[in-house]
Amino acid sequence: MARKTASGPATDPELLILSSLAEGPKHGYAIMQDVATFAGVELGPGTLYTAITRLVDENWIEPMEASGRQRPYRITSTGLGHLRIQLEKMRRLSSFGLKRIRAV
Amino acid sequence: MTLRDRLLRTYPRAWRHEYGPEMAGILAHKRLTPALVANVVASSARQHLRCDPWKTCALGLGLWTSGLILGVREGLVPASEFVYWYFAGHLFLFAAGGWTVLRENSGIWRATASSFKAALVPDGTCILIASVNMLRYWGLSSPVHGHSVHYWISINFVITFLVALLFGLAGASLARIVNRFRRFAR
Repeated sequence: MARKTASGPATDPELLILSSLAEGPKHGYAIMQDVATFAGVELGPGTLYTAITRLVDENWIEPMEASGRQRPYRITSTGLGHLRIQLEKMRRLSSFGLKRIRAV
Repeated sequence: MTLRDRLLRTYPRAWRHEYGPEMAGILAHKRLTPALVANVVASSARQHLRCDPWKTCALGLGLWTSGLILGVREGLVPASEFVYWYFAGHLFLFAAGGWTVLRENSGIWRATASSFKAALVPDGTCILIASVNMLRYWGLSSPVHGHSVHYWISINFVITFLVALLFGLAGASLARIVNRFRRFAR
């Protein structure tokens, strides 16, 4: 349930959540749906909230005012910086890997 | 109580207070499958270890003690070194005290209580096992030096708690010094 597609950095729940929240604040269920749409990864509720808890602890995302049972989260500037660094690393890795594949 | 409520109740209370309503909302949207139940249970186990440092330390100490008992039984650890290695395992109590202060920024006595609780799990289990006489290692089932097995277990229990107090206090005190140094460095 947690990671249906092949595992790898592109299915890391924390990166997926940060990427989802980079678009704007969302609550848990909306994050799940968004991640399923843009990454094709279906996060289980347990995986989602384990990652959210850690991201809040790290101060990479923060909860906003709750409306009913739903509470939206937004990405912080620290979280945005962390996401940028991780995505840059992934981009370097993918361009390097693709170059090598083409050379084979 | 529905299965969804039961699943939610597997999480620590502090976590439920913070995230419970949202999680309940999501679970209400999902069909309960074995995979989903396993996902939630695994997540709740992680939250228990994250929320309560003493649980992680108790688990570590329990594994350490079990490994040591098996080691002595299989002859990998000399029986004469048992006490030495047993007390080396109490560093987990030091960690419980220190970690509680670092994680929760709590006071020394709360951290020491955390260390007590960590000590209770493996020691309580050992006492329970010995009481029902499931293990017969090191002649536990026969009187030692004229005293019953339960006498020695009780002595061990008291010693463990004194050690927990000592190590927990030491860990908590060190963590408070670290916290002060961090604040000063900022």
